[in-house]
Amino acid sequence: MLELGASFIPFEPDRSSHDGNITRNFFDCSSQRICTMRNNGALGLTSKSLKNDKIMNVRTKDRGEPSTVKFSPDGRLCAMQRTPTTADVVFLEKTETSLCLELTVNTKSKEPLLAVEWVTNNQLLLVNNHSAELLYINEDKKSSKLLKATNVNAAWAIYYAPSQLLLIANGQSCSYLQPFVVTHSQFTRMKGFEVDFGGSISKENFLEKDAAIATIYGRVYVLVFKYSNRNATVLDLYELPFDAATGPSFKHSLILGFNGGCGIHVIDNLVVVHHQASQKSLIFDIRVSSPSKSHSPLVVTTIESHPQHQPPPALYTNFWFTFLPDIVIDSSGGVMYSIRLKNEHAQLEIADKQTMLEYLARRSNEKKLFVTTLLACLKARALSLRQIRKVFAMLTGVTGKSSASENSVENGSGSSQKPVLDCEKYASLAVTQQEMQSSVLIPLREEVSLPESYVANIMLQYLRSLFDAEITPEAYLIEMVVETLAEAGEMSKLQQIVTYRVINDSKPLAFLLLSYEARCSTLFQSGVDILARNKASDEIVEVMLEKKQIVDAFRFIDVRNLNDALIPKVVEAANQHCVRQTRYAIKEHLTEKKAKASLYKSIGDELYTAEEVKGASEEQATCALFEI
Amino acid sequence: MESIANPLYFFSNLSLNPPSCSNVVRFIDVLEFFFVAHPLSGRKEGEEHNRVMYFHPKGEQLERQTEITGFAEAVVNFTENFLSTSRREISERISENEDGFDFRTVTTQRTEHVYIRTEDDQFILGVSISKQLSLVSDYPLFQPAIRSILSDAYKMFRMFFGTFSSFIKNVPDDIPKFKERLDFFFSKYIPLLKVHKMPLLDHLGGVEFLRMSGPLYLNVVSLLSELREEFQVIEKIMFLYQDKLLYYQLSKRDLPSLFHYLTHNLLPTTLAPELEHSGRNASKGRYLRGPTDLTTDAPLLGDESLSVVHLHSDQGTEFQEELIGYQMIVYRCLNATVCMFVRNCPANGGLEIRRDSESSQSSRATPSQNGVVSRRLLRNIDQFLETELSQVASKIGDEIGDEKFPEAPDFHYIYFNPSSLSMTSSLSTSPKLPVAASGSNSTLKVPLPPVDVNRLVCDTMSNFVSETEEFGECFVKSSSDWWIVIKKVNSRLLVLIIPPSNYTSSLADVQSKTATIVRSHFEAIFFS
Repeated sequence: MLELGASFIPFEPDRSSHDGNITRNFFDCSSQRICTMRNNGALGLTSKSLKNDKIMNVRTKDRGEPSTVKFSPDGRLCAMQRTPTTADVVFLEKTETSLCLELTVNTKSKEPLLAVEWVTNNQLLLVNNHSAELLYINEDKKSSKLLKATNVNAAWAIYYAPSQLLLIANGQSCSYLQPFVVTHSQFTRMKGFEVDFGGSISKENFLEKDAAIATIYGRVYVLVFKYSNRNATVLDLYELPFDAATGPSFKHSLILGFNGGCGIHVIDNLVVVHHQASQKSLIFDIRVSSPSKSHSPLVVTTIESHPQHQPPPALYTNFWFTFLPDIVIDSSGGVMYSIRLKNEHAQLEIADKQTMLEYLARRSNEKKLFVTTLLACLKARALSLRQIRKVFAMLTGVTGKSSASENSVENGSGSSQKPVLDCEKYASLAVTQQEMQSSVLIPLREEVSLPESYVANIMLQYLRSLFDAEITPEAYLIEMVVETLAEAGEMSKLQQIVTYRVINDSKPLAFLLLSYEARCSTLFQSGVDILARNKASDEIVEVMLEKKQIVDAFRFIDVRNLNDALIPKVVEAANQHCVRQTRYAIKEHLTEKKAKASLYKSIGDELYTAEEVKGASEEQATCALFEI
Repeated sequence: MESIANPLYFFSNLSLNPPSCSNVVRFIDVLEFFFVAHPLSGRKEGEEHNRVMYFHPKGEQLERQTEITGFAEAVVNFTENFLSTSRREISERISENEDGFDFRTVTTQRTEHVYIRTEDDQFILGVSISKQLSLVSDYPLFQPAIRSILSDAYKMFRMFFGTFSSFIKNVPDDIPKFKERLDFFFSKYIPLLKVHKMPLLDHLGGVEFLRMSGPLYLNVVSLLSELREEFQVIEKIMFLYQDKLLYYQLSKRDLPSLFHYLTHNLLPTTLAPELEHSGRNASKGRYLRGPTDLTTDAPLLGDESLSVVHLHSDQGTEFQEELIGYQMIVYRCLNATVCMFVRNCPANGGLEIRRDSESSQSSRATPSQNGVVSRRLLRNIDQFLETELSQVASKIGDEIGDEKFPEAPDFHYIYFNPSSLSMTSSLSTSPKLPVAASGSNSTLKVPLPPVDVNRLVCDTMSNFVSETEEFGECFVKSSSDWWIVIKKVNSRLLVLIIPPSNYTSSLADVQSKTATIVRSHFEAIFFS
């Protein structure tokens, strides 16, 4: 399920040598870059990232060992904290002296800094115990200017760059969290909340290392480690609202089931917790429905290394450092890896098929895998009809009513309260009707080992999910459902479904139903009904003539005042199928019509010619009984 | 055959005396006699009375019973001489008779007799209706309706007890038991039987379907498909909402009898106590028959055993009379009724369970206890249906509640589709279920037609509308200025009964009004 090292980059590991040279590495979580500094930058500063191949090499002055290194989003500026109360902004472009220029900044109160973070390419955020200040860095002038400041009461602070969210901890046990959104040169204070971190005598304060921020399924969560001596550790998730007036709420509790050192990743909306002692990784999916807020691991697995690494690197070592969302740094080996999901193994790891399919549907860019897996499950008859319906309901809920209600809820809250928090949106898996038909339903229908009634029931379940989501089924889907029901011999069910107009009217459907007359007479009736509802009078006349109902066709033409062009066709049919008496009656009826008398007379004459008169006379003369 | 423990097993004493303004008549009020005869049992001279299997009224002398049944047999044998000489006529007779029963009719000055022959013509069921009593009761005599009433009585017995022949296998030991069964059944059935003052309704014998939107109907189909997949022992199924049918998966030949039993006997009986408990657990489903305590696993015996009905096998052809016993499970939730039929397996192991290939192939199928319904099965079905059925039934209730009640029409109508057995009429008066919405008891704008109009409708049907034709149209005016319009299109039948008014003085007016009625009330189907 989890693979290490599909993408990786080597770096120079930390080193202290006898000749006085020192190498240190720093990881910037916001820009996801690892920075290698030799002799505190005097011998070189190298910055690398997994996201691009651009490697930056510069030299800075040796002003002491930095404690943090932060890169601006565009990578042109670097903020280092070399002293407790100041931060140095290093301009990373080349100069004639090959040393980067620097600018030293601090807060007004000159207190020790708790956080140094880039908010935008030119805005630097400084946080200390009493204030948060936003500075503008002028690259041309090599100067800074205070943009905005706000008072805070901070014990520690963490910054979440994807949402420009600053989380400040204060209170007696540092367990009161105060979120701020830093956008448009403004600080927007959101509602604070108290977290339960499992405080005890041995652990009096909530620590920064026990907190994390991540975006899961389109919502921003604060992840809180909660320790307990008696019970196992749990990871609590607090959901942050989008507006500033609503308070955050405790949503999920992930039961880890162990104690000891662990690392957290959030990969593709899944919370992955790696346990060093047992060399296991727990995968949690908060979308899996749970009777309470507690969640057990969906999958318990072990990381595997990518085959390109030979020999395979050691796993779950003491030298591993994990960073959100998917970074593993082997400080001893000098490699930065990413961890990725191998969803192809989900079938082996998740026993319940419905849960497995729902899991796959929630993974990014795995539509093809989901569709093939769904088809395999249906072919193997691994799902009950009820489970199939729920899977379909999940798929169709994307563009249907439930999705609309979600949007309306969000818009509703947006209208009453202005949203201030932004995050990466979660796009549910959307499988179109055409895709479902071509990838699942048609292959199912062609599977000879499956009973056709089973395939028909699956199609009806899909149809039901479309209706529940208020989506109009496509015509080709309707036809396939009808044909499959007919092939399955479920004529009674098909008749009832058509009678209740589960499927929409269309002329092709009408003709399809007419073709089933021999097997179910009510389908023929329904077909004619559909033609009538569609005002297809000409076609109705054709159907009547085909059934040799000549007189009724004539009556229908009269009642509806239909096109005269149909009459010669009826006359021709009468000549072929009607007895002499009936043909004579039709002739007389045509002659009696006042309008267009000449036309009708000529047509009627074709119907009853002089030869017919002679034949009738001879028949009467011989007193032969009329053939009926 | 299983013993019958519950005296209310079939019918209740609901509404014994219909009010005079009602549109139905107690059958017993116009009945002279009714009998079941087995001619072969009375072949010996001096033992002719043995052919009488059942006779009503009970107090009739044995000699008279013998005479009546003898006369019926004589009529059948005498007329057989003419029928056998014309093969074409025989085939025509078979095609004409929908029920497939050979029949004879005798009209005398005082009475109307109808005899039908069943089960390879081994049995004769006969009835005699008094003309005078019919006149007093405002019941127009219509021979096809009497024949249908007789056929329905036989089918109802057969549904609960199986065929007559199954009792006569070991002659003569089982004949007393057979007579006992007939007496048990018909002595309760006949006094409670009501016939309609518009006999055409009894003759057509259709089923009333509930109107519903397509997507919601698909919810019903989906729920029942899931149910049958989960519980493979359920072979047949019916779904009703209040007293109307929504979905069925059983032979069409069984549908009218079963529907009639459910809507006229079982549901009215078992739902009356529902009013007392309407306060608590309103959305909780429950079984209408069988055990009340499902927490134990004791076998279902005595009063707790389920009803057994005999239904046609799906494999049988149209002319094959293979009946199989099924245990009937009736589950009710929020006015919705699910009837499930599990093949009955007697203790002597007389019937083998024939599983379909789908069941054997499915790896998920749980092997049932040899098809026997147990409390555990009932618990599992209850758990499976509870939430989902409650949701579906609630949606149906909402949709019905949202329907605006149409204005009462200023005419009467009968609609019947022989292909789907769907029938609806402004003249039908199925017993009002206690839980029915009061809004549905809208007062008719038009009074019921007089008896002579009802008679004229029946006569017109007999004389001018062919049963074999798919199309037809007939306009008739009664001496009291009522108009009768009969239309057949694609085998569907529509009868309009239009009262006298200033706007229907000529045939052209009635034709125009008929077209208007068809457009406004039957717009969804082809009727022009």
